[in-house]
Amino acid sequence: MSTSISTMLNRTEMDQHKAMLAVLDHMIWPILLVVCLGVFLLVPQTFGSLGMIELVIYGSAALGFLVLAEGICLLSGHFDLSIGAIAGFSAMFTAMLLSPDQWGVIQSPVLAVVIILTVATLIGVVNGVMISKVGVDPFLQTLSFLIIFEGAQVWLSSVPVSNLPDGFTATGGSSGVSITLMIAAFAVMGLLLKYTSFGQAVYAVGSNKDSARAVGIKTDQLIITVYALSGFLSGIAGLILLGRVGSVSPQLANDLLFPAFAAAVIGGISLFGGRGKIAGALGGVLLLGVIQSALNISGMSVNQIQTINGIVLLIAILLYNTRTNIRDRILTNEVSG
Amino acid sequence: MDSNAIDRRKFVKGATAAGLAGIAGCLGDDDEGTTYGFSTYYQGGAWNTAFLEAIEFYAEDMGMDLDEWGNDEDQDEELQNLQQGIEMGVEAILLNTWGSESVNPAIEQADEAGIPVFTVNVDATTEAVAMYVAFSNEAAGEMAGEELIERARENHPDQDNFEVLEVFGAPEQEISDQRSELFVETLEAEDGFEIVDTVEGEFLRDSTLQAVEEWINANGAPDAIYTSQVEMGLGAVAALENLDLDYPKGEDDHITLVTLDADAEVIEYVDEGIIDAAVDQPNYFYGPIALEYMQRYVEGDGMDELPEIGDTITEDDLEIPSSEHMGVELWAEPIWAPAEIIEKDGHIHFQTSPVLVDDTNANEDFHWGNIWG
Repeated sequence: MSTSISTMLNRTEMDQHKAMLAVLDHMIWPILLVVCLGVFLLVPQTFGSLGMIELVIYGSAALGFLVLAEGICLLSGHFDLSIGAIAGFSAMFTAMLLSPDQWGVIQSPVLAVVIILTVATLIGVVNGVMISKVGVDPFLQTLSFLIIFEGAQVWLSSVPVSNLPDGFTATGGSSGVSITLMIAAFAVMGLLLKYTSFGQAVYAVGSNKDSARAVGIKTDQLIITVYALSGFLSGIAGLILLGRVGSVSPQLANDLLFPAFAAAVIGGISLFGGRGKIAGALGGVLLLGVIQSALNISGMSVNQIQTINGIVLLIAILLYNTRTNIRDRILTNEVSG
Repeated sequence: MDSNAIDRRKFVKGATAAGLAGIAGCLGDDDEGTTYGFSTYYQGGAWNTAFLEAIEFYAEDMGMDLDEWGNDEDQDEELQNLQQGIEMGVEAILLNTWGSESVNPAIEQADEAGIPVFTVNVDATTEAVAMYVAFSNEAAGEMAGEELIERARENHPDQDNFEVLEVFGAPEQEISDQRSELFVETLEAEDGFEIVDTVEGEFLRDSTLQAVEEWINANGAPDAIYTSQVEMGLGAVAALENLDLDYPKGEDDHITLVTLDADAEVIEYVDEGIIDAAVDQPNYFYGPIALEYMQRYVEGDGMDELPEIGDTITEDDLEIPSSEHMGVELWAEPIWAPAEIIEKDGHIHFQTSPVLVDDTNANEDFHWGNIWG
């Protein structure tokens, strides 16, 4: 009798732990809710109309794809510092091919979309091969590609490339298409990671590469696929960005690497691999978008905005740390119990 | 200056700069004639291309032997390049400064060695600089303010009060404050004009687009917009286009837009009447003016050859001979004049006039945006 009571108590405790862990895994959403409430009270214009809300999400669409690109690498236990450079370079290269003011060697917008995504994916593949087959450290490999492709982007054109056909800019030029694409991409990626063997393998490699290899996962192949996917998603980010502004500047996407990292980590994806949810990363994207928009229209001095932005990020990181500590404590208790 | 793009030559010249300087150092003793050094960075896109090529064209036209040293946007490398130049024994140095403070010891070292350093485009803060040639960001901001007031009143003569949205660069860059300060003062001093808000454009088109679009969505359209740099100007235009507010001049709902800098794209929008005016720099004159005075300094009586503080220099006082480059008679129109000679950080500042680009002159050959566009 006493044994069954003890078992029941243990089970209740386990259930509580599970509930706690679930809350911790989805902590971005209550944080986002609190931030939105705060913004609603302090800068109500941010949500003043449907158009404003649409604009916040639209402005975050390209970042969303870069967060997906970074997120999948982080989940697999790797870094990708080159996502912004891939987005910018592939956009610039394709714009040069397409613009009649530049090389003007292709006319078809559809072909241009294929090219931008192919170029971005190929760069991702090279990243993956260098890391998995040649054994280059992911940080150094992607750092070198960041430098190379940021430089090459400017090398191709030191001035913005414009005069691009409507068909090529249509994806990023339409808020509806951009937002739908982003949400669809998060949904597909979430399902892929949760319900497919590929997804399981990504988490397994991210948790422990050697163990993953020991259970038969082809880690090299997986890493190449992850980086190819990261490149592909970066290419879509480039496509959306160039459509949004209607041209490709030599700096396109250069400043989005750190926000992408921040959004992924705030959204609960572990910097050390193997843990986190893609849906949480979407929360991170929306959180950054809301904060940026609210600060933009708050009437606050531009000299204060960066500091406030940094403070908000610091708070989010502290929450992330706290969550990690609580999680570790719960898991330790479960093991010792 | 346009701070938002990098010239493609950066990657070739930047990478080989140290090697070239070293080789030049070895060969320097064998060279005959006067050798001048030119230390520069390559960030700045088409703007910088115009600025740098004009220097190369002029040096070539004048038969000047100019050793060019790229610093790869690195303060240490800039310092080292200058010190190597001093060791090589160049006669004078033209310096497009990267680190306004960090480079000072090298300039002082050159001064002690009897090598004059002329800064151009971006200044250094030591009094050891012989002369600095550039326009004034502050004066450009002030001119933009005056133009905005005049154009807004012209566009809407029946209106008494005007709400202005300012797009600011980036707080960490000094140039942002320089280009904002006198613009704000000018508007504050004018009855009926109010800067209702300032948003950050980060010198980027997409950031400005997002910021302006959000601001207008939240607050409604302002009567006028001021942007202090070319990419931000184009970002503001893109925002107006997205919101279907890009009414050209002459239409009732036209939003007055004044920007600093005028590349080919900006000039096109000025021509179309979407941008009312752009305040630009006579960038392709900076180098030739500095080189002209540098040569006079070296071949003549040193500092006595330079203009004095308080002078006003007109095209009658200084001729930069025109010559055909880039398909035009470059330097034919003295858009730099008149220049005021003022004191800055203990040295001479040859402060050129800004250049106004509006619908009356948008297609002229003397705008760098039309020449290097």
